[in-house]
Amino acid sequence: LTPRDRVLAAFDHREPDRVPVDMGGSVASIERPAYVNLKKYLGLLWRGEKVDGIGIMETLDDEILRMFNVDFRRVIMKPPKNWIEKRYADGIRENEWGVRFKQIGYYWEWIWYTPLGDIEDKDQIEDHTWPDLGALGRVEGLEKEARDLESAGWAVSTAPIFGGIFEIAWWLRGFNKFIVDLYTRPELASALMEKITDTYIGLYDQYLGAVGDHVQMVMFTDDLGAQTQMLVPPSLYRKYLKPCHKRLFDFIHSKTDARVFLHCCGSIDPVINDLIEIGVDVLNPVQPLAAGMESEVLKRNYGDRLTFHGGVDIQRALALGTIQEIDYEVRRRMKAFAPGGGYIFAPAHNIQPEIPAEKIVALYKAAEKYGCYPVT
Amino acid sequence: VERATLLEEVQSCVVDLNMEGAVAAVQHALDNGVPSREILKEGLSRGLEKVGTKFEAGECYISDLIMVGEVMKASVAVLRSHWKGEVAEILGTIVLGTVEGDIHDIGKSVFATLAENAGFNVIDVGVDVSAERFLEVVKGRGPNILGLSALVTTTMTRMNEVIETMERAGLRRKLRVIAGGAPITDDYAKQVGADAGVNDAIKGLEICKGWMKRVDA
Repeated sequence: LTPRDRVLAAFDHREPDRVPVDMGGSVASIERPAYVNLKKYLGLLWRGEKVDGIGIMETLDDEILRMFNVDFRRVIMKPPKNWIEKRYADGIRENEWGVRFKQIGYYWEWIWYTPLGDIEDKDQIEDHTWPDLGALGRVEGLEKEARDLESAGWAVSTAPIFGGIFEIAWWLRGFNKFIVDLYTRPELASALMEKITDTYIGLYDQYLGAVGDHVQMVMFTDDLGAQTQMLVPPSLYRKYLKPCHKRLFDFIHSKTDARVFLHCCGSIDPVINDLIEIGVDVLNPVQPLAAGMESEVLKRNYGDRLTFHGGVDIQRALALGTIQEIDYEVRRRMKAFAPGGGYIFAPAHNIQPEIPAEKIVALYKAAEKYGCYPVT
Repeated sequence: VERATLLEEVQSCVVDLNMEGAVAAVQHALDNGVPSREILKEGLSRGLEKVGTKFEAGECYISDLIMVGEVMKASVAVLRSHWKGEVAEILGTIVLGTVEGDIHDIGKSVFATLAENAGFNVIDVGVDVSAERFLEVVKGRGPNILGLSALVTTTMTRMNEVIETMERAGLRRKLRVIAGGAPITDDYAKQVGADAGVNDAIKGLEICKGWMKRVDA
């Protein structure tokens, strides 16, 4: 059984030999400080692994991926050839979307630079500098990379290009302002989200044009949930954001047979049926401590229509738990999600900076121990 | 028109998050001779309380709180232009900020707007605020309450640093300290030397109001 067969079985809701494992892709990966410690702990040399624009490991040592039985490998879209990241004082960096980040403490955070904060009219949205869809070099060499990984038997996945439609909208506009737009200036809010959707469709057109025939999973991220509830009412999600998500996911499905993976943090149970309806096949991170996101309940309610990806608590078990508690946590999530297939094992978000290497090793060891079918 | 009906109208526009409606209803009440203080107390604030109750019950969302804050701001602005000689009742002064190493401020800014509209004088120092900066502002403005916010678990430890700085400067006894943020519990807040800890803005506001009542008595 190749890793790809294993993953495809899980997607088809059949039980392979064991639960497939994932690590990588900017939301199921590892923060740089934890990765550096892990490599030291395992006695591995640095092999030029890449860190993404916000401090998360973009590429990982293949030796670690093999040690942890990771079934996925990723093909990552590149920035355009002639594009130079803008840098400002205080270490501030600006990406292609005009969104600025700054490292504060461990994390690269969005800062209050809101280039669309003052616009009054939707026509002004076009004046912003958006990613250049005509730029060359984004997918250079990617098709071969994907083909090679495919013929080696890996399950191949894309990585998220950048943040979500909702996220980019408020990053550019300012959180409170964009929220108020949704209530009082729906035309402006919609036009902004449509523009972001159009841009993403242009980018996925290139990305999947190169790798679409060779990937099994396409990743997209858009956070809508907080710990105890959604950030916006489900009714607002349905009215404004859902049509954009649908248009994008329809496009992705038209370009590839791969499954659509959506990362959406927090408490989002009220819209899971909507997500299934608009073509989400794989839902991550199914954050277990968020309100209404109990693993057993999600499996019962949506398990026949969704593959769950993630699910292992990082807020308490991995952050504060002992090795034994991590072992228990993995066993519990396996039991909840794995029966009947439809589960990809991963921590329910990137492994955080201060997580010791022993715990990371224990996490994936436990996956090996409890992930063999039949899972009981 | 009945005064009660006019105030009811103000209230229900706030509950419905209807900004234009609320502004018009406030104006309508003013035109019919309702005193601005009564519009604030019996109309706007009552509406806000109802939204708060709905939030506590899980019937509305953080975005609704942001929106109601905007509705309040716009409505109070109409009232302010009519305050002739009436002095607005100030409940107390709150100095507020997100601790060093943390820049998250959604909860803090919701709290700031609500507290301001509830009658507090709010001095928002911003985000990534060092203990020294908090000290400087507390010294300069002499607040009744110090509000410390953090979202990230690795930065909430900084709250202790701020509180100790206040203690060393001999200012702690003059202050009530409230800690706020998603990971904050009341137990944690007390461990780091705060008087209360909350993970939602509505509860935080209730606590601050309670403190000021006790000060009055």
